[in-house]
Amino acid sequence: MQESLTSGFEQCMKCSICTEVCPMMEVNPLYPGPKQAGPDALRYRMLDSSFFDENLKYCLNCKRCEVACPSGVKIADIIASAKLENAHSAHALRDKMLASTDFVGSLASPFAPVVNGVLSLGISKSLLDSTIGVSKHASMPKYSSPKFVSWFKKQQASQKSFGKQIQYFHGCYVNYNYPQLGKAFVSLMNACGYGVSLLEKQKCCGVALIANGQKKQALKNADINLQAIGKANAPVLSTSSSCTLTIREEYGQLLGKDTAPSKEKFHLAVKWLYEQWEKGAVKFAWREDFKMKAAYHTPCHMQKLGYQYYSIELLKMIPGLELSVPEQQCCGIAGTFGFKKEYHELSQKIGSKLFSSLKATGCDYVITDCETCKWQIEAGCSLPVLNPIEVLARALDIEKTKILNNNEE
Amino acid sequence: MRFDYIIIGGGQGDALLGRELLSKGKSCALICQGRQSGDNSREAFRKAGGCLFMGDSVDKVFYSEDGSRIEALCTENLGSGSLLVADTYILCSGRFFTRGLCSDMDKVYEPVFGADVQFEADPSLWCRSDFFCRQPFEDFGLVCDEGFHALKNGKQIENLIVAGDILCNGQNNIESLCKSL
Ligand code: SF4
Ligand code: SF4
Repeated sequence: MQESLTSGFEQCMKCSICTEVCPMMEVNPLYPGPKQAGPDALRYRMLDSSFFDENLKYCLNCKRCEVACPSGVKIADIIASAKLENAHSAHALRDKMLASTDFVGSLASPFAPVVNGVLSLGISKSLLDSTIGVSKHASMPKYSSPKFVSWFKKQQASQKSFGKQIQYFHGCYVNYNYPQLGKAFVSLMNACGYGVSLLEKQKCCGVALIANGQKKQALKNADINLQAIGKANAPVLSTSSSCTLTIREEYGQLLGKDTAPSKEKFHLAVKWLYEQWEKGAVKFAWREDFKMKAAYHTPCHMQKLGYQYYSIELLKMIPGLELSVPEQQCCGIAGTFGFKKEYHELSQKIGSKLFSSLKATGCDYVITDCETCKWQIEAGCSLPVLNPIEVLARALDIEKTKILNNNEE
Repeated sequence: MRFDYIIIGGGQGDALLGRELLSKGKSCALICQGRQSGDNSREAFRKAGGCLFMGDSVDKVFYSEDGSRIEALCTENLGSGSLLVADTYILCSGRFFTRGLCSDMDKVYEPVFGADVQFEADPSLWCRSDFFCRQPFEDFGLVCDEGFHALKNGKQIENLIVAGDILCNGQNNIESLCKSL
């Protein structure tokens, strides 16, 4: 465990504020809660790892406890770290499959229509449920063909013609499941005068590997990504709040890596874009005919990063967007947690409050920065969910924006 | 990001103050180091259009050349490349529990701006052995001028206003709440 965690826990003054905000505690009496599972039990685990309590598996790593803690205790990191060292799963194969987003995606993507069809059949769902433990009630994310990377290869040459460049960390989700977000990102960046290249040799950030206790693979991915970021000669942008949190924060806190290069060069696209706009380096022209009524959901990891206002303030610039921002709540999916048979019901219970408050806004779309929140909200609210980058790209008058940014290719 | 006001605090009164400023058409951010009493007030502040930076703290302060004004802040979450700028900064980060004031073995200090704190120089006089009597350290706090500007090395910081429990000899809310129970 990192020294910052083993020393930081002594800052805990036992106020129990963290237990008040833990979404898992609200629905599950078996979960000991952040104070007990984190700083309280760490002092015992430091003496003897047999004090590890299997009920820590319920922690969503949503980090709401950390946001609430007045003493700056890295509660969720302490718990995640203990899980990473000690947890054993009764569903090792399933956990490996759910966590190996890169590997499974590369297998499934070429046969996307078949795989999606098979995965949505009741019989396949029951089979996955009874054999490896993937909940039959969960809607699996759809695979897409061709992959984002294959599409991008055809654009590569034209991207080089831009004077200014950025690199894109697309992650697994954009590559295998949702290339349209990557395409929207490229068109937005191009309109702003930036050419896009892909961060070379990038691997899945490893958020699911960490959550599923696969430390060795997570370390491997972290090394590859950090090396690639270190070599990048332009800002590296991501469109996912969870990838950003993992690469900027968790690589250091949980995997003991030096995150200095990622802190300097790796950014969430909305934050980078807002700051360029603020400096006057990027300008936007909006479509007059764009109309949308949407609610913005702040993912827990976005709240932890503290970046939600970059998304919100960018979205507020769009004249045709009627935006509401309900109170921040956890959607309950926690990456792969909600797909697991034994947790699916808990995950839905946690999300139910958020689903009702989103529906109560009367919105036609939900906007959020996290792909797994998107899956959960789409399934729970039956509303389409978009990433802020997609909304910005749709609302932008691309031609006028290009002219504003002096970019007539 | 730019605001008319940045409030460093986050308790009930601070969020209400923020809401009041918003209702006067001012833009306002609240940097709140952790959850304190006043969830509803903070939510009302957020709903009224305020920016609530929850679970964040000020990491770096940029002053004008002569040190008389604050030009910008950086926070731990947003990082050193991201400036939060305001015309006026309001420091109401409370006392020891909320880390508005900190101490080590021989001094009491205000950790964000290093603003002047009034405290007893002899640490042996900070506490009295009778646990239930009023403790001298409860009267420690920030000194300010008549316009409630914070002072640093005796000099006014023009655009830093101090409010609430962090002020020396101010009202002690914990004590008054306990008495009212
Ligand atoms: S909120 Fe922080 S200080 Fe309070 S009990 Fe939880 S970990 Fe400890
Ligand atoms: S990370 Fe989330 S689920 Fe885990 S203890 Fe903290 S608040 Fe609870």
